[in-house]
Amino acid sequence: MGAAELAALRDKFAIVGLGTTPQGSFPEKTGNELAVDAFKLALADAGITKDEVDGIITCPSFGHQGLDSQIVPLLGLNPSYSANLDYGTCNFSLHLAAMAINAGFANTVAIMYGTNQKSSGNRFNQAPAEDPAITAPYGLFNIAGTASMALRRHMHEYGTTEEQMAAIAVTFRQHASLNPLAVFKKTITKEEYLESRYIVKPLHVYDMCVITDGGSCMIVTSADRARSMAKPPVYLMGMAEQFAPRETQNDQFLMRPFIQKVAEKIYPAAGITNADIDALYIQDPTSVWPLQMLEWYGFCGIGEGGSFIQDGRIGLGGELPLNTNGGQLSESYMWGWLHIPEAVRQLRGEAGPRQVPNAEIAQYCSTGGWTRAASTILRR
Amino acid sequence: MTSPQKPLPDVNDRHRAPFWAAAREHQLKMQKCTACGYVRWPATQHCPECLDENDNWVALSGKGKVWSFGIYNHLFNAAFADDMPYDVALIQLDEGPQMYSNVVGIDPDLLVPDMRVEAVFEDVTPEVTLVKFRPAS
Repeated sequence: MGAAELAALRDKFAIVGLGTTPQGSFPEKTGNELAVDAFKLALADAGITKDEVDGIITCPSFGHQGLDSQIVPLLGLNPSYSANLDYGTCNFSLHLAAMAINAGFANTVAIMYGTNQKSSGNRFNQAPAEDPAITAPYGLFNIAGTASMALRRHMHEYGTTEEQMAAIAVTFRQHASLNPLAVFKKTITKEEYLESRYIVKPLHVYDMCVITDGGSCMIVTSADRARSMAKPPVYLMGMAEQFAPRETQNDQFLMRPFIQKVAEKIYPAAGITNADIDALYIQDPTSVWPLQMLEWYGFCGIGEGGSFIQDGRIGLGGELPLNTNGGQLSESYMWGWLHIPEAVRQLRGEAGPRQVPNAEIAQYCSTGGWTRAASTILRR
Repeated sequence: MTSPQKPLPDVNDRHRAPFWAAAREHQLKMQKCTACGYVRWPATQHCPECLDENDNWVALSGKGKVWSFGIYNHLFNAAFADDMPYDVALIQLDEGPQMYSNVVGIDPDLLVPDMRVEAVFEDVTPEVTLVKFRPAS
């Protein structure tokens, strides 16, 4: 499938409800219960009752939670369509919701994620995208291991420096300081970044997100239905994905050049270029993800990410505001489930002190492991 | 107090047993597809290039280069406490495949990407030998 087929889906679906619970540590609740909390908030935001939702897409979370067979009974619904997407990291779940609506399986779909992995003690002590049977004996643990290799290679090939990388963590923390939902609101300086300890060198502690509990839910429906709901619709202007597991046999695979395939599809699908993006969101479990994706989506040249992010360009008031919520590095981890809610708030004009003036078009770029990528372009 | 055990590979794994048996003999061997000649790691039933199921385990040179590496300053597993800080590297073998390993015999801070390395074999238990790398002589 190519851009022409994807373009046929342009503006046919809209996000009409958002629910984001407080983020942090909630040992009194399960992940599934936090997903229900987020669903309730999303219903209230959309101004609809739960019976108007006839599709549910859930996302697995730590501790064998998050299955639709577990969550839908808690919602007290008998939906026409229900699914659990095991790599749900938000973009993928959103696209599946659009597909379900487009195919007639449901009219209005709630996608959701809830996790209590902080309070239930997920140590993230494996390299989940790798095969622990052949990597753990060498001490390869946590995504920081492979991410550090990708950054080191970027530094080697293009001269990227730790001083340049500081801009990502420092900027996102500045954004988080304006976000009531954010877990980390205390700003940091470039010097504090450079003096901070390494997790896996060259990645500093501020280059890594921190585990949190919380819930997130979005309600998606057809554009026609969306216009009668409480909040102004935010339309799905473009969607694209790529799965590239064969790339693990490519010597550059940690650089993830296959992400370009998504870029080649999504801008024609949305009928715009990346110059039209008013606010950009990039999944950021580590700061390496924004560095790579700014390049693969063509916001700068390959290898130029380090210099591109300097001088306030990715900050509020800059040319390309990036992760205005603070991202996973400073707002909350949530497996990337909070970037799209922030994008929707920006497009509705609800972002308060961190509002991007006149934001009309936003984009979210995410990945699943090292070999899966997706992006969504939203407009008001 | 006994220190925790480092994770060990399953040397009897259905597909990977020949790799670990060769390591035990201080050889680096990987699967080579008899149909298309593609050399692969990790081991699989079918060749990912042509889907053929026939292969030979061939000896590799053990030579390659460091594609990249990270230096662990945060202890994720207590069994590695005595190794801190330690490197984990992605090794680009001359015959094509990549594998995660450690580069030993060098201060991790002196490693650089593209450094030439060669395989060394570390007998960690009576059954298990790990394939590691050192700067090429």
